Amino acid sequence: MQRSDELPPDDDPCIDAAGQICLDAESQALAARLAHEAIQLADQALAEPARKRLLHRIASERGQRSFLRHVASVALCAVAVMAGIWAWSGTWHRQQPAAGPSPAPIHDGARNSTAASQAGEVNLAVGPAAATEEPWPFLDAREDATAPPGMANEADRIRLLEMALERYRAAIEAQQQRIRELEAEREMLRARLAGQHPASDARPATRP
Amino acid sequence: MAGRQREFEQVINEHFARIHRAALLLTGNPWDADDLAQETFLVFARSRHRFGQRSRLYTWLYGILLNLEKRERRRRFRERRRIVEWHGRRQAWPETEPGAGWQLEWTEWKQSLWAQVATLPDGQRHALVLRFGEGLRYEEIAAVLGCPLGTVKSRIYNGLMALRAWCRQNESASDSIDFSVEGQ
Repeated sequence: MQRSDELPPDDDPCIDAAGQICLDAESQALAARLAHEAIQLADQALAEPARKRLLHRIASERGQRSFLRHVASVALCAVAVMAGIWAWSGTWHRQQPAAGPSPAPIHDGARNSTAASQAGEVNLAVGPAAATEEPWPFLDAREDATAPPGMANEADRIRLLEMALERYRAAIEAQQQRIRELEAEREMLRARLAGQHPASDARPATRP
Repeated sequence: MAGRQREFEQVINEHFARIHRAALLLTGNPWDADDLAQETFLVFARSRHRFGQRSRLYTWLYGILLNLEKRERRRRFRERRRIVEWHGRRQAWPETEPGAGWQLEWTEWKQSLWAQVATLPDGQRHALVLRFGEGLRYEEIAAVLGCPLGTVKSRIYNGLMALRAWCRQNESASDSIDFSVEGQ
């Protein structure tokens, strides 16, 4: 099969000076026959059923697409609702302790320790709140000392730091006091235990 | 959305017949022509936003059709070659252009000159279909095929020459048969 498709038109003998294809009578008859047979074939094969099938196919594809779009939008809405419920419930749980009644104190701290020890109970609560009813001072002191709103004066900062140090010292003192109280309580309990079993080491007489 | 759909259906109603006719000349049977024409419009539906109004719509549709047809011929050619290689009968398969023997059962088409057009190279085949089957002007054919105008004329001329050669050979063969019959 000849492959002379890419011949430049100037070198092609089939193109005349006016740029038209030079067809002799035989080629023209051949071209006319091609056109005539094309019309005959087109008349025999009807395009109308195929066109209707195409329209039906497009309509069904469009229906599928709209259905999928509908399903996707419903799923998206469900996900959005679930996310909203989850976020709302998280917020509610966080806000619930503040909104409701204050929880019962886990311990009463140093104020009740003596009474508890007198009642024979051991107060094992430890930590800053166990020593004093005042809030734990460290964070507040540091924040007060390092982030004074609108205070850039050195003297003011020194004063604030001194106040913070004072609060540190007071807290440490309270802790030490609490340690002493716990030690005293421990000693008292030991002494009481020793008084209850004075002859625990003595062997009972086995023979009369 | 509904407006675009209506516009698309209008395009189908307006151009389906000519695309189907060209597909028929290219494939050689109404069933493949149906599939090819439908596929052409489905491709158009997916990519119509790329139609830049630079050319006429039907030339763009012809371009889609020819590309799909070329791809289908290559696919069938590969398929047949694979089958031949599997069965070890490669010698029995003539070495021809891709898809030259894949035309099917439609008798009218096989008896027409378009069956011989189908054996030509893709460029000549497409140019002949667009020129004599669809009646497009040379400039339009050049726009569809994406080649210079001179190339289109050259392809049409060479395609016609190849058909003439086949017709002459066919006539001489039939003459020789007639002669031999008369001689007996």
